[in-house]
Amino acid sequence: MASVNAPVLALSGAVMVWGTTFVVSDNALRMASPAVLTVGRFIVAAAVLLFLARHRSGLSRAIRFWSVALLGLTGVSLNYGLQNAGLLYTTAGTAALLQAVLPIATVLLGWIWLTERPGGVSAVGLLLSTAGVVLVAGGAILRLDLGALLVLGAFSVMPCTQ
Amino acid sequence: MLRARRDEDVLVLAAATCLWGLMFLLPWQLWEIVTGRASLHVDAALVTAILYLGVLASGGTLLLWTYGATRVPVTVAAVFLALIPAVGYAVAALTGEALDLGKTIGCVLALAGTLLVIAAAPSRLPKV
Repeated sequence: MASVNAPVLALSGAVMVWGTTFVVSDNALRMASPAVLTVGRFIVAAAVLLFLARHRSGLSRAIRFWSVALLGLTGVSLNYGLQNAGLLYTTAGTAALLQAVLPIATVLLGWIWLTERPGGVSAVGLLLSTAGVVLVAGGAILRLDLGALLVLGAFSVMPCTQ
Repeated sequence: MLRARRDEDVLVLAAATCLWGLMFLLPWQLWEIVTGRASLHVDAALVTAILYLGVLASGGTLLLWTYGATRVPVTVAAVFLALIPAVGYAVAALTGEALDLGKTIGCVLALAGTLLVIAAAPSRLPKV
């Protein structure tokens, strides 16, 4: 049997959970405003992670790195904040269509910053996945409104975290 | 940025990132309160949702993504982002939403593309 790849399993797990969060967030946003919901979830997340990491060495050192602060700003605050705020002003279909730009934007940034050029097979795989996202968006019409700009902003900062 | 910190303890990196993320979210919360836009209707459903979103969808995924994305080529991490809407559709279909041929084909394409990218970069991925 082929050996299992731990990082790929970890990414799969994250994506599986993220795939379920839209329904939960959508329902929760009827009971709490976007900032209350976003801050609430990250108070819980920070409490859990800091509790688990409390005996690890390097926590206070890591908190002082500017690049970690930037990771928090882009990967957490802007990404989740803009997404939640954007969904109030645009349609879910527009948000789904905009998600199609994420993989290619990430690879382009990786190519520019990390000089990780995708090979031919990888490029085909990326194009297939992007086409898949467009189809999953299912004929949604791209509305360029305030919400779309906010969601696009959220998706644009995500590649920076890589 | 994750690449730059790939030698860091994953749990420490995720916890520090989450803490900074929370700090940067606070001005938005303050703005909602000051402008009277903040609202909260606490009931069991909301508490359950916030616990799920906090523990699993934020803390858990931050940990998993930090671990995975620091150990694979950018192309592999990137292609996983395309799977999010596909998983969302699959979940909706499993919970009763009517199947749509185009969206189902989209799911298959997104999955096929992901598998192709993973298969093209096997040597750079550590094995369990």
